[in-house]
Amino acid sequence: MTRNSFITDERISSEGVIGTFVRRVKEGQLGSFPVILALIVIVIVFQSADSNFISPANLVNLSTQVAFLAILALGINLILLLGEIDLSLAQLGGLAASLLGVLVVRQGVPPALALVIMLLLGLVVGAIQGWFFAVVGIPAFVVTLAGLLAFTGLTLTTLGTQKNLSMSDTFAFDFASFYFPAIWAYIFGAVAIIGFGGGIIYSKLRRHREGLSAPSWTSVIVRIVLLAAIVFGFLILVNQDFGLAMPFFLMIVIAIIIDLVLRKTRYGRSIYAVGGKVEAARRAGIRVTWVRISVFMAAGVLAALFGFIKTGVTTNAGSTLVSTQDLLNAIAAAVIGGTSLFGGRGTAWAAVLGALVVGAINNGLYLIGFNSDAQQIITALVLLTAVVIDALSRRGQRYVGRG
Amino acid sequence: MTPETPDPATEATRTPGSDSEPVLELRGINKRFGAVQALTDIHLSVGRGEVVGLVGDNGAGKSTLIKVIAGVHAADDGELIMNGTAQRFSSPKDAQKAGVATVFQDLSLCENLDVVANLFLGHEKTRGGVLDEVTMEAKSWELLRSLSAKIPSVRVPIAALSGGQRQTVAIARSLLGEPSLVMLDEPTAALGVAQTAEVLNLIERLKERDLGVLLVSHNMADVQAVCDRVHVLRLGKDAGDFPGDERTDVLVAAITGASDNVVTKRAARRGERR
Repeated sequence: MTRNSFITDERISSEGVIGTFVRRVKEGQLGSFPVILALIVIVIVFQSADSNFISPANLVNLSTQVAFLAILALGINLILLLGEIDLSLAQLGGLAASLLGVLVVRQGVPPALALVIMLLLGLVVGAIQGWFFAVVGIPAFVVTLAGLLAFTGLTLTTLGTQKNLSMSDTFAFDFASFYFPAIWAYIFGAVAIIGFGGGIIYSKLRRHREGLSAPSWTSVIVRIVLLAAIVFGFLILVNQDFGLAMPFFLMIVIAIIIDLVLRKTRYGRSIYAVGGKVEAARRAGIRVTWVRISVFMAAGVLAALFGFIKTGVTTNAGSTLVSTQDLLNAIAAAVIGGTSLFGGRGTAWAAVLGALVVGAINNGLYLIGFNSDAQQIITALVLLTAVVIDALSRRGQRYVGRG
Repeated sequence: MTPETPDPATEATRTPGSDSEPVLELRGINKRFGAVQALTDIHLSVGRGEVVGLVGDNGAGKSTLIKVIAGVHAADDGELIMNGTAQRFSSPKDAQKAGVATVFQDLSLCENLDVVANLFLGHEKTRGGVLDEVTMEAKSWELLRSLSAKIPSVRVPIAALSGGQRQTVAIARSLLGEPSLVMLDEPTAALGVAQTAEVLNLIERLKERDLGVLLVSHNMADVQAVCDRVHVLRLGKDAGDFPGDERTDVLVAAITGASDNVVTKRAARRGERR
């Protein structure tokens, strides 16, 4: 059966690939398109200004910088999907990192145990903040603002009189500066492509069998080839330098897991429902309180992981490890990637793509000799553009289907 | 859902106009909130394939009655019989299990999710723990086509649909639980002319499916267009059961409790002129 046999409204006509694209632009169903376009523009601009931008050495550097920002952004992204905000996540990561540093360097606790403790800290703090929000009913903004202040103070308390703490020669540093051998990087890349390709081909075949509209073979192949080109292009470049960095690999694995949970499970669906309309979610039998608390817990764990990676990369577990700049960059990353501030719209990849944009801007401007003032101003402009696109696409959506 | 046990008691009180035992029968329902007697001795029945309009002024007890049937409030006393079985609902879940589907006025849809996701929200089909989008989408098309619903695509977010289309999705969603009674609370409020017609058509479809439909509405034209019977509530009491094509002035008189008001006067003048 063809797609047309399902059209129940005579006003709807069949459309081609270009027609679909034009309609989706008008309807505001842009998805990741604007941020990918922005990334392409950024790469072209910086590459023409400084040919070192896409050099292997710079890509390795950039991938590590982006990794911890993206992990934090993935946490904030989840909270944004609920239609809430968490201001405390960066500081929570800082607190967790300081705790890890004190345990490992000063107390001599085994690294694995210390890592578990720091991740548990994120989980428990997330649960407590989530409880205040979901059960007590205090706005998340206020709860996490209190958290931000408290964790800053607690970090200083944890560190004691010596506010500096070096993590060089610890397992955190070893982990963050581990690079996969080239062959492993290619194997991971191949696994990712096969998983993605297999998934969309399987879904296409099943949809076809059930008589539903299925993407054409052309679009399936184009998508697989594009992804393969990007993945292997990146891997070939970084393998000319140190190779695939562990933090970047970890970030991609986390993003894949969160993406699958959000898109493919009932739990993920319930997060979108709560972010869209709480009352509707409740009436559908979704345990709203549990969804809210669990999302705060997941974000807490991601914040702790962010702290772990950042302390490993910078070898600093002291009070200067994180600042509100990290938090703002992560929120900016999620929003630039296309996650709505109003809740219920966005994907896991939004956080990653947005982090790539923010990281690439900072890195590129640094390369061509701009100072951090310019970096902040340009990031701000990109963020503003992203929010405007978000607002406009929401408005565009309202005019579709109205007859 | 409920086993159909023929009850001799219901035989006697069978509604004229329906040819089998009623889907829903209320006998002497009372409900009191503190000092307010919200419902007094309500008798109402809805037959299979019958559309019953429930009308009344603000505060007449329509919402309370709907909530009693939907299991939101428990009645103080009186009998509620679904498909021949006496029921006591202590929660909306009980009512759903017994075959009552309620579509409330403030639509319980998530605007950010697409039609399929909304239809199956809270009851998603899974295959090995993973959402089975293909089956859900196929079932969505099947359901919407059986209702002759005009939805451009089941993969657009609800935000992109018109009011009538949203109402259609909300009603279709209620049908997934395979109910025997569908209650619609002001389904045409705030809809345009064409969209109202769309929803009224949909009510006809429900009737063809042999479902009992209880339609709460303020709009006399809508009620007269689709209802087989109109049940009037006034100040929490039954104020009459009329045939669906009853004249507006008679209904208004029953709703307001006065035979002397603008509507009845004009109708009387019209009558004189003829």
